[in-house]
Amino acid sequence: MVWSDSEIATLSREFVTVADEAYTLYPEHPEHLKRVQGTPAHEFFKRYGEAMPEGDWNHRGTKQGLYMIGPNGEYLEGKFAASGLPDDILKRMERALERWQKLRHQAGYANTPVPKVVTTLPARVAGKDFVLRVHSRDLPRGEGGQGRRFDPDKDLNANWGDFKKWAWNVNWLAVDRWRVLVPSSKQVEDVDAAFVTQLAREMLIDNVRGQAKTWSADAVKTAKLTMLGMPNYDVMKVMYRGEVELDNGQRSMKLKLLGDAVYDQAKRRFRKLRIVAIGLRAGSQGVSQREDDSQPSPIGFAINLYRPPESVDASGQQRKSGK
Amino acid sequence: MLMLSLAVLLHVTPQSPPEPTVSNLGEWLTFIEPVASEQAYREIGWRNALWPAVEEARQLGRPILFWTMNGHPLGCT
Repeated sequence: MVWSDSEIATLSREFVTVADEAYTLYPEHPEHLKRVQGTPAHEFFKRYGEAMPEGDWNHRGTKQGLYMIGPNGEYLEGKFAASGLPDDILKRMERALERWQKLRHQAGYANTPVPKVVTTLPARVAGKDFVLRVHSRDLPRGEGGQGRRFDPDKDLNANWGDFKKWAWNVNWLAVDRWRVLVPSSKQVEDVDAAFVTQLAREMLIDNVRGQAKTWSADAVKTAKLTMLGMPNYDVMKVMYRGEVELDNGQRSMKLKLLGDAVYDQAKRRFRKLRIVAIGLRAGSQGVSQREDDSQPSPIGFAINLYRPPESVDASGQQRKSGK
Repeated sequence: MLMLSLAVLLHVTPQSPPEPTVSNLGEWLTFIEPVASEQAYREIGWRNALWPAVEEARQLGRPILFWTMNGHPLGCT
């Protein structure tokens, strides 16, 4: 809702825009916090946070939010768990830029135009050889229910909880042993079971509405994937079929998998690979926000081999000149 | 049309969950994957780590707009 707003998008160009994981920067657990103390990013964020007005920083609690910060940690605006309402965020950004105008003159900041950046993927998978992108979404359950798309004409100023109607999410997995997905014959073969189990545990998680943990090993009841290669000169088409069943006593998933791929036998790499996993999920755990939705309901995952845009560097960033 | 054809397929109960087939594989992928209007956040142009962005902001003399979640915003798990 917020980032669909055209005024917010325009104002964002006045900033160096960055997204990052809150828990790795400022964990709430004291033991985890000790690990990041003294690191530049943590200390920078902490210094900024302690300069915030009372109530806007959420000391000892989650630091999720939207923050507007000077180059040396100066407070401009921001709030933990910032509202999803575009009007509120726009006002905060406008106030931040008013404060910035005073600060930059006082501090002598150059205010050089910010280069455009292409949004790609989290740093943890950037630059890896074989990266799968997984989208998850509730499937339709009838008129007005979950599983529809966000409609900017209707939903731009919706209440926060309404996001469940159109929620979807994205996850990434860098895979080392991807060559097990290449058939060695023209017969139906099993894909390596350990590999399929890893995919199931780490990719097929119900994060549609919120963060969800990966599955433990003993939650995997079934994880099967077969492949059939159809070579044709330098190219081999591959069909994948499978099923996955996961159950840890609090949440469960039962899915059928189907996919296809094109493998370049000369270059020894996949040109494309896509798999869909469809079925039923149930239960609730942690912050997945399924407390009111624990009964079995349809869910879908779309798994694609990710190819970054050209000239994206190993950190996952691409820079262009100008605004 | 896409929504309607899938809705027809989806007389879903725990006893009859939806299943992908070769003929509807593309349709399922298209439905699940976000369309451009759902990915407006990507048009902002997000750097993916805070500290390099701080260094860039210092070099440019510009403020930072920092979006942070439990679960990286660019790939929330």
